[in-house]
Parts: sequence; structure tokens; C-alpha cells
Amino acid sequence: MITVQCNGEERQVAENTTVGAFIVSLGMEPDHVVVECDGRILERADYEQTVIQEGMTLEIMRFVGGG
Amino acid sequence: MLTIAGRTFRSRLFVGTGKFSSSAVMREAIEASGCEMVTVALRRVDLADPADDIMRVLDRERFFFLPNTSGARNAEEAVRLARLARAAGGGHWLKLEVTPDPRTLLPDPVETLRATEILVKEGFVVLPYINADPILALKLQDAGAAAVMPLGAPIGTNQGVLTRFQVEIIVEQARVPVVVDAGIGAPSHAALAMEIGADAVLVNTAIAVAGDPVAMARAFAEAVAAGRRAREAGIGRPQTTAAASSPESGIEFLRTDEGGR
Amino acid sequence: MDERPAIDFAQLRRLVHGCVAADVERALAGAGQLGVRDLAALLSPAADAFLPQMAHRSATLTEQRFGRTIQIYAPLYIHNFCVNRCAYCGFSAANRIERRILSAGEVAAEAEVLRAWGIRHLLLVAGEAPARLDAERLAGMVRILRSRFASISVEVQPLSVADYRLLFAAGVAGVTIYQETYDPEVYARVHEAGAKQDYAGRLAVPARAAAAGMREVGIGALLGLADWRAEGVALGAHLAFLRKRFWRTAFTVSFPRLRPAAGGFAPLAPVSERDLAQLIFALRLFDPDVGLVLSTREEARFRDGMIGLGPTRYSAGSCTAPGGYGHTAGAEEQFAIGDQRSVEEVCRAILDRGFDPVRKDWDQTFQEFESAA
Repeated sequence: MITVQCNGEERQVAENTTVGAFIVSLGMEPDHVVVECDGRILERADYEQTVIQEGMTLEIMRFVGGG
Repeated sequence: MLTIAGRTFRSRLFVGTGKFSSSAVMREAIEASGCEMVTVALRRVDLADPADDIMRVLDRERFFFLPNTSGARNAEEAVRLARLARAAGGGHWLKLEVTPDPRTLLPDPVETLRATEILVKEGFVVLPYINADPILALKLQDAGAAAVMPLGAPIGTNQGVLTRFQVEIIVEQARVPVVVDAGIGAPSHAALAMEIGADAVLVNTAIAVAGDPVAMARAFAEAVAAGRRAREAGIGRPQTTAAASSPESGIEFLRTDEGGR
Repeated sequence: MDERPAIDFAQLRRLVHGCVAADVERALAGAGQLGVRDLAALLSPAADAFLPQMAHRSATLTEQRFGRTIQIYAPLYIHNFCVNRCAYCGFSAANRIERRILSAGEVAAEAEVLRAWGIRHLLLVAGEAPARLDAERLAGMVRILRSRFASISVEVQPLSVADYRLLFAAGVAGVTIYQETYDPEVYARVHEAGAKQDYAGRLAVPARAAAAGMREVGIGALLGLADWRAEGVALGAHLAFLRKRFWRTAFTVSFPRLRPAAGGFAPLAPVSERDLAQLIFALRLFDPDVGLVLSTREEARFRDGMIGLGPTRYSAGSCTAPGGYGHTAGAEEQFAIGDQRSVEEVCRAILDRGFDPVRKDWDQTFQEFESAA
């Protein structure tokens, strides 16, 4: 297991987990979110290619109600 | 029909999706409003509640999502939120709001203009939320804004179109659509905004926190349609005196022949 | 950015002649900004019965926006050469007249005469002859004059944006350029030869001047060439087009009625004083902020009567021949003057009516010139 920062919380993730798989494991739809990986926006097409590394900072965002 | 950046809308009521008591009420109210465009915000996912997903609640085929940059306090933050919204599948449309003062949430004109210039270059369709400043509206239009969204009153105040005089000037001068946003507390306010020539209004709080949001959404739809119809029909100017027309007074010197030339 | 409005003159003519009294009443009762259709109603034959009401409203709007003032200016003719053959103009290349171009020194001498009369707003006028007077040469004259006048405008041949920028940097604050007529058929008929034959090209010129940053751009139509009612609607449409695009520029409209000129051209479609007044009132109602110019082509009696009813700017003491102020030579004038009074007399007439003749409004000292200034 490796440790990452996700939305301000520490999370344990299995080694060789892709961002796409991680999103699904959290109960979310990859098409409905946007991920910033160490401050850089990740294109959706790259979710399955991007493997989560020890110490990464992930921000997962999506649309919510707003005016 | 209303056209913004080449896209047409039958409804001139835009509805914000914040502050509703539940997703179900929100969806029902939005459906009752007849609107085709809804605003949404971009936020960090609450990992404890991963299923709370607005994209599961609203059908994006029916409701065009207009992401906002709420929370941005300067141009850089707004640009970052805009890029994130685009990556989140929000398309390249954007309600730009830059509100450095957390108390009033009034928009920053300087940062808004700066962000508009950057985002237009990046291919965004930018609809900036602004104070009702006619010169700012013109500068934003020159910078490539697809519409301008002057406030009627500070957000959430339900005060109505306190900026009426400036909104009238903006409407007179603008080449792009004018959407009155913020401060609209009652259907009569929305009708007034339409009567003075706004192309659309954006309503959120007044619907979301009404006793019956669904009924209120319907009332706003009717008010917006009525205001627009009245604008198109031509509204009479208030007269301070009865029309006094003493015949030919003051112009009796005019010759009616061909000027003897 | 597009430079010219889409104007279908035949359609505007049908529109203006199809209006009935109810259309006029609607235009007069409407709240907010009037549209081109309202303008057509106010210019229609049906609006004649409403002229007193239009005059009253025009007077009210003018006073609200401009106060009880009339700006005073005078033209200074630099030369009367012209490459165009325009049937209505005394300077037409077809006319055998005495031609003359003033040297920079002679221009300065003429300007001093006007200055001594109290003129501070100067309009430099020339026929269209770029080989005699190009932008660079004109800019040189302006640089000499600018410290002596509060503002200098030009009415010369159409120029490029770059040339207008050059003039602005030299101290020119405004550009006047008339379409003459918005009726393309009449336009083709009266412009018999020369660069001015290009109707669409000319229609784009005011936008170029505005794009170059001019503080003020004047448009106009020569009354007596085509249907004046449709001409008025077209002027309004052109004005609205320019306003939407160049909000930093102030606009003025002029309505010169054809006067006798060398060549003996008789107006094709005569316009009465009452017609002209209707046109002025209608444009004021259509655009409360536009400057409306009434020149010395018109008689004193008419000009005095119109004070306060809509016009905001009068020329005074005008002579339309190059060198005419200093009586240094007898070159031919462009048109005959209707109001022969001196600047002093015109100003007194304005004062007598309770208005202030403003000889100096804007001061170009405030304009940002080329850094070398």
C-alpha cells in the first residue's frame, strides 16, 4: 500500500492503482469528476494511464448546486 | 428567441441550482421553471458522500450546464476554476464571477475584466457577473464577452432591480445579451427586468428557499414570459402631465414652402 | 469589425411612407430607447400633425442633455480643388472656377481672423484632392494651429485609419464626413466621376475615423437630393450602428439643405423648413445624446427660431471660399451663405433667447498628443 493526499485526507491505495480505478473505488463516476494531480489538471483520457504514486496530492472535484 | 454565442434558448429564465433543500426538490423546481440553462458550481467532492452527484440528478441533454467560478477571489483563481470546469465536462461556457469580498460577494470589476481577456483567448464563452456598470459592460463586450450579467442587487438580498437606471443604460448600449443576475427576489422583479429590456434573468435563491420552490419556479417562468411580452408590445412612458399640445406653439416661424431656394 | 451598416434605402422609403398616426403615437408614448421603426414613424407624413409635440419633447430632451447652450464653430476652407464631379457642389471638378490652395501661413492667418472673432472650435475644410492636401500636410497645419484653438475638426477626403490616427496625434479631435445621400440610385446619379462614386466605400469612412480614436465623428446627408424622410431613417440607422460599435466616440449629425452653388444645380427633392425641423426633432427623440448641427446655410430667422428646440451646434461668421476671411483672394465659394451675421451677432441672438453660446467646450490641451508634442 502507498499513501496519498486526496481532498485533504490521507488515503491508503494499493500499488499500481490508476486514477480511474481509484475514482470508481470511491463510489464516483469518472465521467462526472475532474482530477487535479499535484496541481495539474488531468485529462479524462489519461485517467486509465495515470498510476497513483506514493505521496501524490489528488484533488477530485465535480459540479454541485450553485447560482 | 434568445441567442448567446450562436446557441438559442426558448426560455429566458436561467435557474441556479444552489441552496435547494434536496436534489429531488431542485429537479422538480427546475423542470417546472421551463428553463433550458442552469448554473452549477465546481467543488471538491465530499468523500463521505460520493453519491451526491448533480449530474445524476439533471439530464444534461435537457438542461445546459453553465459552470460558474464561484469562490474565485481574483483572475488567476477564476481562470483555474474555468479550466477545471472545462475538464470536468462543463463545456467551454462559463459564468465568470470574481468576488473578493466574502461579506457582500460583490464582483471585482478589474479582475473580472482581466479574467475575461484571458479566458476569451483560451476559447471560453464568457458570461461575466458584474455590478451594473455600463462602462464595464462595454469593455467586457469589447474584450469578447458573450453576454453580460449585471446584478439587480447584491446576491441573495431579494431586493429586486435596485440598479434599474444603470441596467437600462447597459441594455441600450449592449451588442451582446444582458442577463440580470442576483437580487431578484420575486416574480415582479423578474418581470421588471424583462420590461426594461433584459434578455434573460438568472434566479436561484428566490426559488430555492421559497415555501414551495416548484410553484415559485412556475411563477418566475410566467413573470419572465409576461415581462418579455410587455417589452415586445411596447410599454408607455409615464407622463408627468397630461399631453399638452397647444397647437403650433413655438414652431410658428417654420416655413412650409420649399424654402425659396 | 464591420464598418458599414446594412441600409436598404428602398425598404426604408416604404417603411417611412407606410406609417400612420397610430405609429407616431406609439413612438411618442414609448418608454426607453426608440428603434428605427419609431424613427420612421416620426419622420413619416403622418407625424406632421404631431410636430408641436415633437418640438416640445425634443426641446425637453435637448435641455436635459445639453443644458441651455449652443456650441459655436466656424469652417476654414483650405482649398477648393476636387477630383470628384458631384452635380450639387460648387467645387465639382466639372466647374470652371478659380481654384486656390492656402499655404500653411495663409491658413494660420485665416485662423487668426476667426480667433479674433472669438471662434475657438475650428473646422478645417477642403475639397477632395489628396495630391494637394494629404494627411501629413494637413497634420502639419494642425500642429501650427492647435495651441490657438480649443478643438480642431476636419472635413476632407476619406482617409485610412492610419491617416486618421496621424491626424488625431497631431491634435485633430473630430472628423466630419457626409454620405451626402443614402439613396444608392441618386448617389450614383449625382456623383458623376471621382473616388467618391464608391457608395459602399464612403459608408465605411465614419467607422474608420471612430476606430482611429477620434473624440467626435460627424455624419450627414445633403437634403434636397433624395426623399428626405427615408434619408433621415438611414441617418438614424447609421448613427445607431456607429454608437453600438464605438461607444468612446461622440457623434453629430448635420442636415445641410442644398443651396445655390456654382454649376447651377437645383435641388432634386426640395425640403422645407418645416420638413427640416421634423427631421431634427425626430433625430433628437431617437438619440437624446447626439449633437445636431445647424450651419449658416440656413437663414438667421430659422436658426434663431430653432434655438433650444434640438440643435446643439451652430456655425457662425462662415465663409466657404478659401482665403475668404482675410479677403486675400477671390476664390470661388462652395455654397452661398443664408445667415450672413457676424459671430458676435449670432452669439447675441443666442444670448437674447436665454441660451449660452459656448465658444470653447473641450480643450485639446487635455488630448494626449504624440509624445513629441
